[in-house]
Amino acid sequence: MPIVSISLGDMEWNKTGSWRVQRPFYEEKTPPCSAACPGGNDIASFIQKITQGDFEGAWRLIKEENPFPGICGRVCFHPCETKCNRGHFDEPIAIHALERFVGDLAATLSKKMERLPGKKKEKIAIVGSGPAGMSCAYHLAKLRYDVTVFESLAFAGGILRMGIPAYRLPKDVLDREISQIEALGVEVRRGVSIGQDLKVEDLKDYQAIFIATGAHRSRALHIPGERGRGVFSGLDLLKKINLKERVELGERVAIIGGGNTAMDVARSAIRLGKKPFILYRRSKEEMPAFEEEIVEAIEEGVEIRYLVNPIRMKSDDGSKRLECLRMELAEKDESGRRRPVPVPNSNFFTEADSVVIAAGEEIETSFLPRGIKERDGIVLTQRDGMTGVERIFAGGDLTSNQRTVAHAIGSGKKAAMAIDCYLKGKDSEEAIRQVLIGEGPSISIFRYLHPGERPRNPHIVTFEELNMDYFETSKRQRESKSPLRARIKRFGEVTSTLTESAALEEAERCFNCGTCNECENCYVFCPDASILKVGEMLSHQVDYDFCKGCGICFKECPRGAISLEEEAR
Amino acid sequence: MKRVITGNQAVAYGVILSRVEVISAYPITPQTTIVEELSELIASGRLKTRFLKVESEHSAMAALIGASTGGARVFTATSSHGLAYMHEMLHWASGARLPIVMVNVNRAIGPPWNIWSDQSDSLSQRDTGWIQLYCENNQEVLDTVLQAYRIAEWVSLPVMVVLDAFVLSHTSEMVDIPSMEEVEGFLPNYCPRYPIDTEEPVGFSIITTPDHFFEFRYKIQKAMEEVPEVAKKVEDEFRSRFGRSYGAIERYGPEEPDVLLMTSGTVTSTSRIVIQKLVQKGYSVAGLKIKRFRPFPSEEIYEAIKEAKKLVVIDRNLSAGVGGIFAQELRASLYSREVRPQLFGFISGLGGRDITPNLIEEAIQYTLDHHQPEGEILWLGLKR
Repeated sequence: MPIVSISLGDMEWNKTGSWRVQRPFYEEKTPPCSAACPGGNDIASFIQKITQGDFEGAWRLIKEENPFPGICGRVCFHPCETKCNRGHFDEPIAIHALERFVGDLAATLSKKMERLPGKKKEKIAIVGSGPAGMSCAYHLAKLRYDVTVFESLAFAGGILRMGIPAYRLPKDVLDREISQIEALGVEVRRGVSIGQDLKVEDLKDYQAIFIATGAHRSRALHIPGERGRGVFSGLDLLKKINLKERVELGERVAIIGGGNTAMDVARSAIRLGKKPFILYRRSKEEMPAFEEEIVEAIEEGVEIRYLVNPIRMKSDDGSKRLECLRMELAEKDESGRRRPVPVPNSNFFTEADSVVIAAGEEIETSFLPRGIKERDGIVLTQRDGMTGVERIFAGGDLTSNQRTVAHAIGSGKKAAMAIDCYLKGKDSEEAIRQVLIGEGPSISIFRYLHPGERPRNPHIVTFEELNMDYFETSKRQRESKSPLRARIKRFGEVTSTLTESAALEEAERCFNCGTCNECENCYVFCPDASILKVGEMLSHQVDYDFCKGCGICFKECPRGAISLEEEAR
Repeated sequence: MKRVITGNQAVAYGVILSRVEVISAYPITPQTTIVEELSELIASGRLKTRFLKVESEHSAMAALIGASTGGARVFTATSSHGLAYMHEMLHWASGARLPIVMVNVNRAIGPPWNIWSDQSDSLSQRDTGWIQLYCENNQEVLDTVLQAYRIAEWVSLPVMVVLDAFVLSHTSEMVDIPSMEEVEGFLPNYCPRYPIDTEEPVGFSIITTPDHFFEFRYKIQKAMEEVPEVAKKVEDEFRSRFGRSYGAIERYGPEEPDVLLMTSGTVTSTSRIVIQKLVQKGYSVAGLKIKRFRPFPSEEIYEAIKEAKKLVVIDRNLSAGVGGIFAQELRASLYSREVRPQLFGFISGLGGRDITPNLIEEAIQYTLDHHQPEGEILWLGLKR
């Protein structure tokens, strides 16, 4: 007899799983970032690839949903970060910076999209080579369609090229990501205007048409004098500057409006050595421009005068005289912002050498075939993007008031899916419903192409569902900015891409909400050794012969990747 | 190498020289500086020992039970409330026959809250199956840690090395620190009796029915009974290598005294001076130091006391309702003997109050003056 009790048998006969009243199971859920991404990026997954040092894998994951990581990483307004659960803990993950890092790193690895094998099927025409059109072209090409994009200008990119200045989006980044789409076999016919050179009705060889011509007509102020000399429209001016055309801008530039166009014009004017000032009729809180843009514009010396509304312009010896009213804020209007109302008898004058009207953009509809309806400044479509005319779809800024690059990319992707459904005779509404991220409206085309793979419960993981015992506070990595003095003299990019070490550090901060990252807490804590592995990796299977359903794995999972449900009896 | 170090540093040296592989501990005054010293050495990379941070003493001992079962030589230190918190795991360590060595720095248990020396913490764990060794000075502390591993691994029982709060733990004395080579010769690497083999998994300390439990307890008693012999061999070897020995007890002073004073811990050091002084004055007094409390050295003690007329026991502890625990143990061990000197049981120094030479002299004088004690408990230095 030994000096201690030793069992030489085992307890495998005792299937303690029969005691279980609740069952844990691996179930990946939707992180709030992905659900908030209009482009439908699988953010938690691509960040996880970064932490594994698999940058190419991260790039491939982004490219499944979005052809423009380098572009979005720079110009997107990143609603993903606003919703990031880490924001409740310290600071949100710098998702845009990581996306940009991946996009740029892939470029240095000269990653090109492979031309897909297989015969091309139906021909599809896309009108407009902006983010919506090119996103649609990209996904349709991946679906093996024969895609032709018609672009009225000599350059592809639409608003990305002519609307966004190079200091925010360098042209080589744009060229690179567009050329990757062309490498898939997409033909971009530059300098062909639908409306002037050809009509939509002429595109008879195409089995489907996607129209994404954007909103590029500056909205008029409807005040006397706005059509005079020395008065520019915001987008027209930006287009000239971005295409390096000659612009005759005076010394003092008055810019009317508070959106991104106004900021871009003002910051471009600074770089041309001018003295711009912005006249905005509401206050800073109501400004529709992105926060970073406003901050950087002020840093660079742009003057913003709030609660000022021009009501008349006069030319006066070459300079412009603007009669303005002071405004004050009343109750909220239908946009949710406080409505500006004039202060009686507050008229005053201000002088400028040039005036730029940047008070919003409108869509151009004159070229649209009959049967396509417009209401409240946008083209009407069904949920899948189909217009009132059979086989014609529309998207991007043309069909929405949420006019961001990310929304346009998402809209193009959805149209690609809808066109595929249309041509195959499938129910596109149902197909879209199947691939919503969380509650939508963002969609995952990966799930459309690979049903059943990487499943995720649509439930959006909340901060309260995470286990903060396993995280320590850390600082968000910031992209460095070039010095102000150098910045205002040229159109070079203001911010720099994160270094590899900074990107790794930032990626490590990600909670991976709802996504298993093999931290093995479940494996370590399971008192019944019922978390099974395959080699070194978790199998994401529970040994229900022995799992007693204590729920420790569920509780100790830091990121909500395990669910617990009552055992069916 | 001779260095002036505290008792707690002496413990740390003992642990380093014993090549302990796993330490798990939770801080508590007056023990803290022991594991502080060790953890700093580990953190700086100078000591290749795994340190397991835990949230309680219960977990510290539980962790060591796991590590020791896995075949590692392990160590922890605690005091007072920490030791009490470990209670359940102390039984487990001995029941599982694990040679864990722990240092307990004697400290009173509250309330009232108190951090000073008092043996009630370790003595209240006397029935947990641990060997208990009480130390008198810092040299003995270091030497006892080294011997403790030899004894523990020989008989497969855990050992508690005990020293007084502050009087030893935080007081510096000169200590001769042996070299690593010398200690390696004395204390070989630990070789577990039942090594774990993942190819042939077994379960340890599994449930036993009434058919077997009894016999496992009998084996623990048998192991305890081996300790006097084993400890003597270990100490003989220690003496031959390092020139020092302590014994389970130590008898000092003249033969056949009228009064024999029994003490443990640092009170012995004070007693040596008092007895020397009284002998010079012509008193017939001698001293007896008890180092090993478990297993209780009944034989050795009987041999040492049978020629004395009266016994004085000074207990720095109180088992309320009975009295001093050393006195109680001594009474029990003498019951079956033919010669039973009159026993005067004093309680003194609770909660760290100094047991001064005057108090010790007072106890001896009282014993000389009285044919028999006026009560089962005599209070020494109590403010009435």
